[in-house]
Amino acid sequence: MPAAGPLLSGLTTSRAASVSLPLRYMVTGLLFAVFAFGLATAYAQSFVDDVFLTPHLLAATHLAALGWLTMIAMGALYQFVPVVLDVPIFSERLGKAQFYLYLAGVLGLAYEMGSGRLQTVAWPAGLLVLAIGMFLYNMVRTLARVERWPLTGWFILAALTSLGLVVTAGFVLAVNLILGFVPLSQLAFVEAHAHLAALGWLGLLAVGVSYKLTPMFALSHPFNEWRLGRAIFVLLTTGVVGVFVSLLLRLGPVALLACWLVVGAGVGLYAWDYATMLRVRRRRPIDLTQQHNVAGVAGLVLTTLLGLALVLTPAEAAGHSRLQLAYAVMALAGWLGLTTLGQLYKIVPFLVWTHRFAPRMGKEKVPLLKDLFPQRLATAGFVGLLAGLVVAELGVLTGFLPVVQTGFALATAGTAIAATNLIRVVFR
Amino acid sequence: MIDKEALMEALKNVYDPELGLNVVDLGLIYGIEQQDGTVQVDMTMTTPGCPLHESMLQGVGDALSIFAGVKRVEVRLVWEPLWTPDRISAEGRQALGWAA
Repeated sequence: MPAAGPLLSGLTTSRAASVSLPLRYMVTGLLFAVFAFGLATAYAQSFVDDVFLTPHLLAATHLAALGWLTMIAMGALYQFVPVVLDVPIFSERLGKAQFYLYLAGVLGLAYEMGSGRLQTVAWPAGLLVLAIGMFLYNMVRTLARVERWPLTGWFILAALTSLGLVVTAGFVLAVNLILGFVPLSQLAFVEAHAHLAALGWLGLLAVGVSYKLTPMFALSHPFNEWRLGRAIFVLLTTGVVGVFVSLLLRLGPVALLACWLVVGAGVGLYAWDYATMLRVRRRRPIDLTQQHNVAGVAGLVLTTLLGLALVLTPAEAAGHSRLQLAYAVMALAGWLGLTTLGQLYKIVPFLVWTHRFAPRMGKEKVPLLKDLFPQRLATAGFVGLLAGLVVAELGVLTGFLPVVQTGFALATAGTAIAATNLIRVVFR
Repeated sequence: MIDKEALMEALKNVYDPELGLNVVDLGLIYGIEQQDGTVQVDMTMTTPGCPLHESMLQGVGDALSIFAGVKRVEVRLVWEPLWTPDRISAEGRQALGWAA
């Protein structure tokens, strides 16, 4: 038996971050997802009162956007960027230090908002600015070494640029609540900030990542990401900037409608391109991640239609606030939430497999990624979450409290199953 | 010299843990050469930026190191020609539910 090990050449330099860096973000993000849905269930009344931006709604929204979605997105980028763009993370230590600051910031922000103390929200907002600033610095230094830019890389760059603007706008908003130094409507600030976060940061990231992961997992062939991808990138980034500026400067319904139609064109083309990726797939069964993603793309289309309805509905019309809430729930949970959870069913088992089983491959039989968690339980979680979101949306739109409560309770249960399933993989 | 079929058979123990297909049936092995106890394998991945590439290269090296007479295994990752699903074997296509 020879003692010599293999000599690897080609792309063999280790680029990937250690598994503990992304996993800490993902596990924490999953817990925040359950927390956010639990809070929405407990304070379901806020979704039918036709009053926008109550303290509990603000807390639940920020727990979802920052604690759940952004937490997982940052962890995913720490894992995704090195392998897809072929560059090592600039500083893993910075990424680990940033995690604790960010966690403290999210908890502080949700607590201050939930308590209705908007005057003191600036301190956790400051922590978040610091933590996200560290993240962006780490990413910029990492991306500066990229030599070849696939479509996904451009989407990541645009998403990170949006994140920088989101956090700046959020911090100015928090400080402005005390000092009032910016002569702009606070509501305009809130709406512009929220749209840039959902569409610009999380949305562009979700679309960009799908261009790498969907063809890779589904073995889509032939598929050229640039054929429609370039136009989709231009339409979505232009539309997002337009919506942000229109909302912030209150440019009026015509400008907002025009910008929203640009976003809608980008979304329509993307939905078509996504359907193409699935149509030409060589791996026929639609697995759990693809099921989440299909539902997520449907959520994106519905988000766009609800947004169009909002643009066309006067703010003083009855039920306008409920339409806003239905739109926000659809964007955060129906589109971004489902998409994020679906990708985690690939990323978390992959990280654990790489750490635990990869060194044994070729020497003994090792499990497949799908063997690392019970598929039926995962499907039950997905169905519970999806059904819960449909019911909650109907409840919010009709203003019927028991329906909203039932929907969010189902969504909480579905998310709890997903979180338990995935966290058990980590500690397997 | 070790029988090439035996080497290919050993490589069937290395598989893509996502697809559940081994590297031979996936068509990732482009060539195997042997000289003076050194086995050189040219292989590719299903896509550039595949997160599994290091694990698969390592697995291929380990799978071939079990043969007596193999002193060294060199695994080269190559991208020419680019992999397409047409390289998947009939058994692999069946496992993926792809009949064509």
